[in-house]
Amino acid sequence: MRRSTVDGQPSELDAAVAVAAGLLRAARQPLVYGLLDSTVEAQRAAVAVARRLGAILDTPASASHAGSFRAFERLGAALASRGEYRHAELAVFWACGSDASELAPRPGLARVSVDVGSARGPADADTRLALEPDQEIPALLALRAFARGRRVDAAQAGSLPVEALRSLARRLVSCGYGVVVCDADPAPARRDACRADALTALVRECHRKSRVRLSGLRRGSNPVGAENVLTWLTGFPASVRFGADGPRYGPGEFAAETLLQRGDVDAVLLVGVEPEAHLSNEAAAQLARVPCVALGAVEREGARVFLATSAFGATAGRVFRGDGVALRHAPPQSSDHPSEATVLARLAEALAS
Amino acid sequence: MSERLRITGGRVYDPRHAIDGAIRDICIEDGRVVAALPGDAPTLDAAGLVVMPGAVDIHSHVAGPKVNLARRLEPERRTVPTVPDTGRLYTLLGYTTVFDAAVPLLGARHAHLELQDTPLVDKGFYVLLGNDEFVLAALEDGSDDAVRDVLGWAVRASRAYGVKVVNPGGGAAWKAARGTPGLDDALPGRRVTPRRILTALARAADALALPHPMHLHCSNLGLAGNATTTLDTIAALEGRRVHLAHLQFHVYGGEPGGRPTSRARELSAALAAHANVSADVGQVMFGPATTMTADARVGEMLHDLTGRKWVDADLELEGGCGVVPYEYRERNVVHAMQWAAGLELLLLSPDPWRLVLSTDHPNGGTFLSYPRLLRLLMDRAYRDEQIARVHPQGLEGTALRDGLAREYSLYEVAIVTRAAPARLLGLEHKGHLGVGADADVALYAPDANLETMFTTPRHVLKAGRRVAEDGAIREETWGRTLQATPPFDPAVERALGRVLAEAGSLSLEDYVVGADEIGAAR
Ligand SMILES: [Zn+2]
Repeated sequence: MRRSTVDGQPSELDAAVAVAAGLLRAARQPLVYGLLDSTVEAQRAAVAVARRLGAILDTPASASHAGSFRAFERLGAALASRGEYRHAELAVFWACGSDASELAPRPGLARVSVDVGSARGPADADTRLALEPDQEIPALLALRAFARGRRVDAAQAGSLPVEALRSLARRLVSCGYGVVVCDADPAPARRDACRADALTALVRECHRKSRVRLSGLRRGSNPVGAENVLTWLTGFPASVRFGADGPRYGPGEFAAETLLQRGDVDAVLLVGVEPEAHLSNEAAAQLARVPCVALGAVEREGARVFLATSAFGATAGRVFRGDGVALRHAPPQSSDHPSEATVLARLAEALAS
Repeated sequence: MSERLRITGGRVYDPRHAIDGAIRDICIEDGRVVAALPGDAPTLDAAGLVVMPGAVDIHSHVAGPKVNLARRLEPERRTVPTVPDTGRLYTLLGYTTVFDAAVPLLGARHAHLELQDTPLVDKGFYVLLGNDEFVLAALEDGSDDAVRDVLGWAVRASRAYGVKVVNPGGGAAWKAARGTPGLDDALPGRRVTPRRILTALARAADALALPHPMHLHCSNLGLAGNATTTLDTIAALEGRRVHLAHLQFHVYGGEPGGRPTSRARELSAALAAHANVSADVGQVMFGPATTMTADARVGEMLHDLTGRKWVDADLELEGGCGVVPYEYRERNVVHAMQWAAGLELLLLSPDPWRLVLSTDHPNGGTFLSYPRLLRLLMDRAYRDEQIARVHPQGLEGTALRDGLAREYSLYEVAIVTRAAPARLLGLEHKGHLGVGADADVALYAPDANLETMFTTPRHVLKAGRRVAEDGAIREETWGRTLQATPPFDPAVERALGRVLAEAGSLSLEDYVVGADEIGAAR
């Protein structure tokens, strides 16, 4: 069985927790980061720890999902739970595939792939439309204009495939039920601040005449749990600072990427995340210089304190599906290790004493 | 060791026991009211204070998917508090029990997660039925017994306290084809009518002896002329028990498609004539609000009206929800009429035991405005000042124009905020201070400004613990989740499983909330 460690040396869990508590308590501005591959129970416990520490709490979504958070706060959303997609007559895959079996090829479902540069939709789509990366946002705006019954003049149209866009808009406003699928946690190169706004506005416009929903694909085991738990406990989905006057929201400002780049944090607690997969090289390099407490099933090299926990897949608890439905996760085999939630609760106790 | 406290010398308002301001001691032991305590028990001096049972909110929106979407939609926190703040802010007003009025089956697990994190108050919810495949399929097969078993299963699986029906059948029709069926119109592609759904579920709630009758949000909310729908609905129920949610939103006259007017007087008369019907008022309060409803049509209508941001979400095999930020303004003629209609209902109320307080938080305004609403009811001079400020056309034809003189007494306030909601909910141990009652108590210092008085109780006790004092939380305790446990024939699970196998993305077990998923998380 894997052991917890302090400075690379095996340690009993309680002793390691005590060192972790001392390290975090001594920090001027600790950061709690992750919560992606964590159950709701662990996410809650992480909020309690962050609150006790007066820490900043953030998740990878502050980078990958920033455009979607902003679009939601500006415009709202048109959503459906996954089972609704069985009504779909039209699915538009906007530079991505889908994990919903309801949108796999079947009679009565027309599948359109919009490929943007190398970001391509499903290979077996019925129709394809290719865009250059710099055409993407203009194409979304043109689609919306067409859906409104407006014209797109030559200056706006530029090099866009106008006829194909006009036809796609026509299909979206005339279908009985349409789903637009997008990548809601895109890779850094595809993080356009306007895309989520433009997609949301397009779906809204089409929905006036037909029934169209936007489906955002998420990455990680429980990103939707993280933003739900943070929202009901703090009011905000990510990037929260716990101060004397309660939680404060700082999209961008309190994002792990920004804080690390600026050297603004002096201790980090990692929960349910492999941070290098979500941070820039500069931020990751800074993270390596900051004293770190890491929970996980795999020991993290360089961590001052490593607290061994069960892997996400072997942890019983509640998890939100990508479409926001809360489910119970019951692993076939239980782990010998304590869960993240248990270890975080002990850490919170140690911080209180 | 048992915990004891004697609240001494307060003026007690306990309508269930017809106590109207008498000076009484209240004795508390281990979270309950008891007949007497030894002489050396600790005391809380209540001389000069008004003592009431903790208040009970019969209709609010505090937990679950749509409430959390509303929180995300408004990070500036206009009207929808976080879960911890919800428990604290209710408690600081002297409210000790709160029900969320609309949780979909598929949102039950999420709602319980939030309730687990809600401190201080006792809490529960009503599960939504009536636009779902499960009930519609059971009705299509023609058996009311089947509907009863679906209801029993749904309440047990979701660990709900009651059942909520929103725009019966209308939600399904809206989703399928933006239909707005009348009571006797078949739903698209079905043989089922809203009347059938309504009566079958009311009968099923009765047959299962649920502690609270069917909690009904009638069709055509917010539309001119909907008073007729509401009156027809009352008639359709043929004397069966029903609780009408936010009645104010359902008492409008006027031509369909035109500007709504108030027909509150007629609805008041209907309440007087139908002892089987109770309601909460759904008062509109001027200022910010957030509309959140399982009536998706209303969301779309308000979005079109405001042009503001809007969350619109569908759930497989059942309805969906809409969330739109909103603002009620004194100088808006429709808002003025809505404000007036709620006050008319309350001031003309034939029976305070059957028409209780709510703002349908946060739909008509937040629960934080309850103290101001109480002042409007209790203080005619203040009310007249407010009446003078609103758009005069909004008052046309309302009883407010006739200068309603009624002022609610403290006794009546104790009825509409405590005793009556507890009785309508079948909560034996709440809403009163008799022996055996839960020791949930609010103590107020009398003040000429009644809003001030009700905004900041001197003391609030929850299950006998002194949890709040002078506007600050003293101790954060954890209340209970209240559930009903009706029986059902397990054979119904086969039929439900068939519906899911045909059309869902989930299995029946995914709908079942475990016993370990409720209760305090910490
Ligand atoms: Zn409501």
